[in-house]
Amino acid sequence: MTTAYVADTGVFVRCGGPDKDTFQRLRRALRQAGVSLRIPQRVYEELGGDPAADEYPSGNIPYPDGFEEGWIVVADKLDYANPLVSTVMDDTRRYIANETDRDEDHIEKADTALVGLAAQLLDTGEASSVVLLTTDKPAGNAAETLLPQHGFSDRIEFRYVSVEYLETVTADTF
Amino acid sequence: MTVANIVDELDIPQGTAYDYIQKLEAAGLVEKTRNQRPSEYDAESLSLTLSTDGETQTITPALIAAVARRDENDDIDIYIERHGLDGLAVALEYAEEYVDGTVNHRIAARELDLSPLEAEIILQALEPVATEYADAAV
Repeated sequence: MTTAYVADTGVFVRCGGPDKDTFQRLRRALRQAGVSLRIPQRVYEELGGDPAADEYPSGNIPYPDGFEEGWIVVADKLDYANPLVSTVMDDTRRYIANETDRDEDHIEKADTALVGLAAQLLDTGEASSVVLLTTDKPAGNAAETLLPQHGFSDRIEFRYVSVEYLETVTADTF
Repeated sequence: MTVANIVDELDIPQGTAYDYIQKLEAAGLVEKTRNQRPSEYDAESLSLTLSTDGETQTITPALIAAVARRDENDDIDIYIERHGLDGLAVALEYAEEYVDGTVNHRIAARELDLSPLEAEIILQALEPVATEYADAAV
């Protein structure tokens, strides 16, 4: 039984700058538990994609340390040829459009990538269950609503990464 | 809240605090809720609408609370420097949706023309204000 932990951009922003102990707390908890956070390619691009964000204390995220130490890994590319992955991502696009009262055309692959990755991990058997760590409530709710419809009941969990979550995270959390 | 509370909170002389309270009461912005001493006051819900050059901006209590956080929250301070108070006011509306679960940082980024990272930073910075004022929103 393997649980995969998929993390979104908001997790790392929530850690704050390098002087915040939440980052160290998360790092310690993951290393003690021997768990790596998997991040979709999109999240990797978001974390490093905006030099202007370095001006913000919370934009100065020491996530490269996580790659070096092995507790953050970039997940495999999404396999759009996998019918389950593409179906779940289409369903997610409709779900998020509805939740956010936006046109479906306005919802992009980046919005659905987290749920797509969860579907891929479950479908390929790489993980028997998936925990989504995110601040993206529409995507988290989409995962918990849609994946059970594809036979993955009780195998997906959305954890909203609040300040309190990071302040109390320990190895037992994983 | 009593005048003594205000003196403690703001570290100003008692006479000044009484002076402020009387002016705020005369302006209808605070109301005396207890007549026996010490008197207690309650703030009235505030909404200011400013119009300049055809642009209208409503200054809500949540926006005032958000701006007040710039001293202790450098993310808010830098956002105001980069995008102005107008920008902060719009970001606050998105933060209210973010708390409700009706937007995510990626959609906000596209609609506000920010990077997803900057959008997530300001949404998280404003989340406590949006949460606190969610019930008070009309």
